[in-house]
Amino acid sequence: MAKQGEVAKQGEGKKGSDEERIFVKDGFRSFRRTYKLSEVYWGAGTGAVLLGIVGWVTWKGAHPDPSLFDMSAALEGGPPPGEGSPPGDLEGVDASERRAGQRMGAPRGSEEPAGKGAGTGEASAERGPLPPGLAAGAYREGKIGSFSADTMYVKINGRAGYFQAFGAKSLHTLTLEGPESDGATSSVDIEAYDLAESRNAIGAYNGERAPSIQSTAEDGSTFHTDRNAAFLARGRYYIRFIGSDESPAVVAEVRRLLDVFRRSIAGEELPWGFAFFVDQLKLPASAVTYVKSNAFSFGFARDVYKAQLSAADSKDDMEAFIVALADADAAAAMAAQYADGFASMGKPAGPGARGVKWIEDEFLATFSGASARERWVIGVRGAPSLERAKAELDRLVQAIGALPEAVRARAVPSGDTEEATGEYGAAPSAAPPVDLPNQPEDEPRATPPGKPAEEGSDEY
Amino acid sequence: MKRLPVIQSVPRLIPKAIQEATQPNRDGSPWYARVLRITTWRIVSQAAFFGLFMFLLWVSWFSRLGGYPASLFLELDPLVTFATALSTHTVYRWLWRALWILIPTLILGRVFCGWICPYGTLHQFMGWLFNVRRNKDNIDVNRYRPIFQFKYYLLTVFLVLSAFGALQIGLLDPICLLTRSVVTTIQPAWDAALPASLSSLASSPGAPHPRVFSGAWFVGFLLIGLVGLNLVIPRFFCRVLCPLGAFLGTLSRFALVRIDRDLTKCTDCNLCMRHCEGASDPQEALRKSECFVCFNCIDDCPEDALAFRVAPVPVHEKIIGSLKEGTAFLFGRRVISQLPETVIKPPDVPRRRWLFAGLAGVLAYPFLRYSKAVNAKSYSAKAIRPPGSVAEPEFLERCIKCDQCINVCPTNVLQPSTLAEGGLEGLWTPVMDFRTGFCQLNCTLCSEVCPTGAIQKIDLRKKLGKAPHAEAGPVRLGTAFFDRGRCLPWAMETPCVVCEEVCPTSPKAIGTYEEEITRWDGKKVLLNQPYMRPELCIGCGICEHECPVQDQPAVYVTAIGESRSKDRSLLLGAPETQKVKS
Amino acid sequence: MSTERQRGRRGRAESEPTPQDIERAHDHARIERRALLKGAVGLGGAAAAAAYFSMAPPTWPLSLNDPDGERGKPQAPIRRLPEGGFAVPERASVADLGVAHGSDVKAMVRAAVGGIGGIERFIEKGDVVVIKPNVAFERPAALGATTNPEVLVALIELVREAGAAEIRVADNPIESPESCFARSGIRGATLSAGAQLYLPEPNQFELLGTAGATWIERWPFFWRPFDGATKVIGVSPIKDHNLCRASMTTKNWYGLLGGRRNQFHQDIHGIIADLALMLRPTFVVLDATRVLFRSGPTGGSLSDVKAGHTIVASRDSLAADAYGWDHLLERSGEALPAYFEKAAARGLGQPDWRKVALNEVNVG
Repeated sequence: MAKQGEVAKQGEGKKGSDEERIFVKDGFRSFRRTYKLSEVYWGAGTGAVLLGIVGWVTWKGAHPDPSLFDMSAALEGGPPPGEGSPPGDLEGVDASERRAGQRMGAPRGSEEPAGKGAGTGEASAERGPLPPGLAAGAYREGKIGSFSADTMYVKINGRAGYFQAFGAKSLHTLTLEGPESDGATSSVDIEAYDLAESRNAIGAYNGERAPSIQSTAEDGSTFHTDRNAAFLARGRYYIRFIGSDESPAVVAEVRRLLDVFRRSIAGEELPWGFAFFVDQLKLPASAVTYVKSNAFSFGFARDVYKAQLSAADSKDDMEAFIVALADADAAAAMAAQYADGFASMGKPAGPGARGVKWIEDEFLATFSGASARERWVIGVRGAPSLERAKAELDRLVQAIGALPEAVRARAVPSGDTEEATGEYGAAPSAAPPVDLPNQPEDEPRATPPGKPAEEGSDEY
Repeated sequence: MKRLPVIQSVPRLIPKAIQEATQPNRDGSPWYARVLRITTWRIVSQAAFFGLFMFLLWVSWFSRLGGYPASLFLELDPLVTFATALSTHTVYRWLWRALWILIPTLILGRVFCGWICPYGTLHQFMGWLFNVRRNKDNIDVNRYRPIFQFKYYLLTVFLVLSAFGALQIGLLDPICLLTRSVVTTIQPAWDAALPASLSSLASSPGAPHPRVFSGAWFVGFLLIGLVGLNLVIPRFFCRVLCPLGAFLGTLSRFALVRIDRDLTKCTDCNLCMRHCEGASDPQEALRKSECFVCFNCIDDCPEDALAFRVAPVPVHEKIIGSLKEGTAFLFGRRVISQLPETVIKPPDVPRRRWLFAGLAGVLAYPFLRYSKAVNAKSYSAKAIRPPGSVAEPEFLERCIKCDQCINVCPTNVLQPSTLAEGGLEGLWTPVMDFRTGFCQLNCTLCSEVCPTGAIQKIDLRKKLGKAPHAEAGPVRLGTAFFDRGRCLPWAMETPCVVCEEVCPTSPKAIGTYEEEITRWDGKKVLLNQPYMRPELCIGCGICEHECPVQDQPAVYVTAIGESRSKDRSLLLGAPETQKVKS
Repeated sequence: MSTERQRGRRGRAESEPTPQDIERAHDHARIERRALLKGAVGLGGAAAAAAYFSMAPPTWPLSLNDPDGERGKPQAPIRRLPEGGFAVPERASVADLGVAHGSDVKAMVRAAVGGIGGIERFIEKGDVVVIKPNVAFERPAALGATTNPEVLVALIELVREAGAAEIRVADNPIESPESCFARSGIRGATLSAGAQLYLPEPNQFELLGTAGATWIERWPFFWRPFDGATKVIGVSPIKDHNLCRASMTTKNWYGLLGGRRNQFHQDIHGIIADLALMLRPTFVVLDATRVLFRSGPTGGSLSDVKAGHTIVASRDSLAADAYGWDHLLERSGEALPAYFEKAAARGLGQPDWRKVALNEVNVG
């Protein structure tokens, strides 16, 4: 370096000559005369510390916090928009279907003119199980709404949780508008739920039916009518028909629609639980139902078929239930859980045969117990006396023994491992979400006759 | 001797220089005792920390960040920790690392200022490089001056303000100041100067537009000014203005190890002050609160009278005899120096002046806080804070205006706030300007690098409102509004709908109504007319950024509806329960 | 000098100057004249130069004259892509549309390209190939908004086998480029396959001239990767799009535009037709491994995406797009978006894919 080694010449040159140089004079020169080795050692120590810091920083750089790059949250979808994104270009679409009239905040994809659906022939996706040509006589088809599991709440508010608990996939709604009378238009609202499996449909249907109301089960349909409403579970669909009033015309229309749907929807074989209770135990089909989750208010109790053993008009509430599992070990474990569950509600009433621990309910003085048999768990709940309970359990055991091979083959555990109860395994939230503004009418026209059954309410 | 031009002389001078350097010293000690003396190590340390500082700022970028502690220096800064502890009563996240500086300070004194502080290194280097003084002037300029008290007043005002909840240390704290200056002025200049082949060395590579920062001119002016003041008084900022220096100085009063002057060797030549960085009077009673432990005095003393000793005994009373007559003796040796003072002088601030500074701090708080710009009544609608920010009064308790978030933001949407947007209290705090960028949906970098928690660390799940944060919903920065008088499909019969196209949420927060119209010239055209779905909008601003009506966008985001503050909610229901069921 | 004169006067009062005095005076005058001449010449030269620079006619060399302000306007050079684009000639016996169904991405890409004559038909040894994926948004690949990185890797390998000298992957995304390339997986795919990654930088855009275009006759274009390129391949996903109904291979070139390209939504079909005119690729690949069938072009939810199990390779972008419209977006009942007609009117493709020679294979 050119400036190194230049010694100051005292007194030479003006003060200004120092300012002429670009680089500083005597940059590295110092006046000390003695040097110590201890400085070198301390300095080397700090040098080592510096290297340590650099090494630490490098190591940190190579080990990033994984959550910084975790994109799994981005992949979890939000609710998809409703079906039917709008076409963008005008050419090819009938100009008369402009939507300027619907501009005030209609939620995307909920309501579309029925004419479009029928006209272009792409009916199925938008109508779901609703058969074409429902309008007859004085009734015209109104708007069809289609909703997915996540947007159902837009139409039915808090009831969405109940259907989600049964694994609802979609909802299609249709209002048939009838003639005016006395200044009021009559109409019939149809709600068609696709619950993916027939057992879910039956479970949902039974959950909403008050026990005092008898249902009819024939050729694959389970249904009942009640004043101005009708309810149908067929195949994997559960359909509700609610008329606007109880005038004869409306009631007749409701019945007519029920028949139309019974013919048009594809029926399915009843689930294996029905074969068990109806064929083996000779119970009426209307006494059997399916609970997808949270049976008897037990969090672990899922995929349960149960049947009313007491007659409908008796004050007893005795039920038998059966659950299919993958193998005998799983069944034994599940039976133990049931036993514990019952035990939490009362005191032991004495052991039974086959190691069944009978429990007497502390409030109701009824007897309950569960047992594992091969890969099933069977049990009796709410029996009025211990002898009755034991007798019923024996019948169940014999029924399993007599179960035909075909039914055994069908008796597989339902595939879902997640509890389709709404959000993240908890019961559906009690607070209804905020209503979007300017909703078209979203309350069912009349509340379903009778409250939902007591059991229905604690089973979801 | 005729000087050769540098190019030709270097090959000859290097071996010569090496040969000269490896001569043993005149006192017999080996050559490495001189070449590797303590000041050499200090220079190495200063260079290393400066390089580390610049590296960590350079590496604050999406593709480079990895696990680097990008805000390390800010976390090491004891004043940041102390002041935020005063204002928030907590020590956030990594701020405990300040102990690594505090403890050596309590033992050794202001080693931070002399060995670590990158801003101090910058001042010292510039002062050394452009120094044109000869020895006598060097000595004069390094004497202690009363104006050096000013930093203690500043510190008092800042700390009192912090105790009240207005954190303003970031205005003058050296690490914050240097970070801010590098981010807004030096890094863009560096990026612009790089040739295309070296573009991977840019601080913000891979962006189609050069980065811009509001008010960068002022920050640059301040930087050049403060660095330029080193030509007047060396390390002017460190001696006169630095609040961190004042803080460490107050603490180092009790330091165990200090520069000790041997009265029996010192000839009062004053050469020790030639390059004294702290102007701490080593030639008489050392002002430990000013001493930077730079060891330049030891390097310059021809008599070996100075040493760095543990708890040296105060010797003033132990002198036997008379100094004036030259018969003074100390521990059996003759005292040479005429200045027998070696007792440490505390920070030379009269008590009354401390009180004045405290009072100024107490008054400054209401003056700042009630000047409209930062209150619930009249907050600036365009002061939109980064995602993860705490609500506004708490934000001002935490933000140290370091601008690290602005550094790391990939889209250049974060800008230092101007006086108009946030007043003095909000000056240089981060706000979003959607004309320069937008907030990317899946990015949480700003929350990662914020050292004080003004932007709380959030992970992507929290930002997007996925499980387990679904109840609270996504983080909303504000809400977008349509100005239908400026929007092309609404007011100008012209199709467009870029806003809806780029809206990142699913379902989109912008919906469209279709309307087919016949224009003034008879053409039929289908217009997609956008409308807002406020319960879905997260205020990311990409709609405003992409709107072609660039001078005053037809869709714009304002701070209302932001989820960090209940005061600023828009729709019914507290922000926490406002969600679309997912 | 004055002292001399004074001395002279003192010496001989009022007498004539001596010859020596006169000669000395002449010497002085000569010396002064020399200085004067030097100065005059210098001044004159400077004045002449200044006059030349400012007043000489503009066409003369080194003239700075600008009589009407035209010369002062910024003159950016206009770049042009090769005449006829990067297309390879048609061959009667070889199909122009190759479709492969299956689940093995690599096999599908090879089969699709094989269906239109194999990679050797398109890429020669020593080619500089630009592959343009769609990286517009900062989304993970699974959300279907960007090109599938596996398709890109398969294509890069295929092109390398044909002997390409250089493979460049480039795009100018809407969102922050670094994040888009990284999160979509395209960056990792490109670097792992050994191709070069070109991120947009401010000084890499140049004005591109496209003769006959409606909107982009001259427009800033991401020029750097195209400097010296000999072949161009486009790889785009298949996406729903609210404004232009679908975003496929023809709209893919939008990502090369710079400047204020957000204005083009005012005539989206016109600009797409212009894009087809601007860049005629060697071939295009329609990546239908994932189909973003609604909420496009940004997507954002896995429920907007479905598996398509298909890759289409084509010399004709319009045919590929039409095939995608019919079979993958399943909109054959609806009319094609307007850009098909506009581009076909310019002779840039065949919008009725049934009229194009098709090769369809299943690779399991």
